[in-house]
Amino acid sequence: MYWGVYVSLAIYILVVFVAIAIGKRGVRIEEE
Amino acid sequence: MKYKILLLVLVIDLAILFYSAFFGYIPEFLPYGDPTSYRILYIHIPLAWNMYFAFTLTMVCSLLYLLKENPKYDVIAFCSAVLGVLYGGGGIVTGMMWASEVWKAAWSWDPRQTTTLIALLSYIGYAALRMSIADVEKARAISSVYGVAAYITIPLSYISSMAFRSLHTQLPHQPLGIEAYGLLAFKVLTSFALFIAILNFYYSSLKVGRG
Repeated sequence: MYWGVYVSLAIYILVVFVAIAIGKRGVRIEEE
Repeated sequence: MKYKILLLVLVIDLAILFYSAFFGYIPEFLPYGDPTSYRILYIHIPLAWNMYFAFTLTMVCSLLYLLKENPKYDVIAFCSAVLGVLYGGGGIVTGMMWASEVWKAAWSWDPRQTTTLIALLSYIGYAALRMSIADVEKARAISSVYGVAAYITIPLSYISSMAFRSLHTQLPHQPLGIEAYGLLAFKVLTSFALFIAILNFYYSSLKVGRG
């Protein structure tokens, strides 16, 4: 199989888990 | 509860991802490269469409904030923009993997590549702008105006491959069967559900504090 498919697969998984990690960290809203 | 929903959607999406990457339909013959490179479409298209959705949501919520001045719209706009940048980055890199095999050059300043990069940089600018202004009200108002204005880059990115001479092919012109379109539609759907679950997870993890 073309190697780019494996790289793309890894990129997708990376994107999803980084998105979840950012989501877990949450948004910090400054006190008004 | 939010963890359970996220985990369920994540498992389904990853299962479809692996299935499409290893067993997804490919054309028998491709005159300009390895036919297995077609499996990148099952990964690239969901990432790219989620990016378009994320930036559209940022524009809509920015507009709603400007109209109603409800901070929740500004927070959704920001969360969506951050996720959109991530998905867009993934979309560009997976597109480069496809281009490397089929176009014989990973990056060729193709109109679609260039305009999508401009869109991505615009939303990185949005996030940087929002975080750089100390005054909360001012940050929300200015970033909302920017969030609406930056949206001009999205239709530009979408139409670029049709309006200009581009190597980027259109989906209906692909030599794919009904099974492939069915799998692709399912993959886009699960990927979209995962995006919504992550956005909800992100939005519900609000913290109040300085910095």
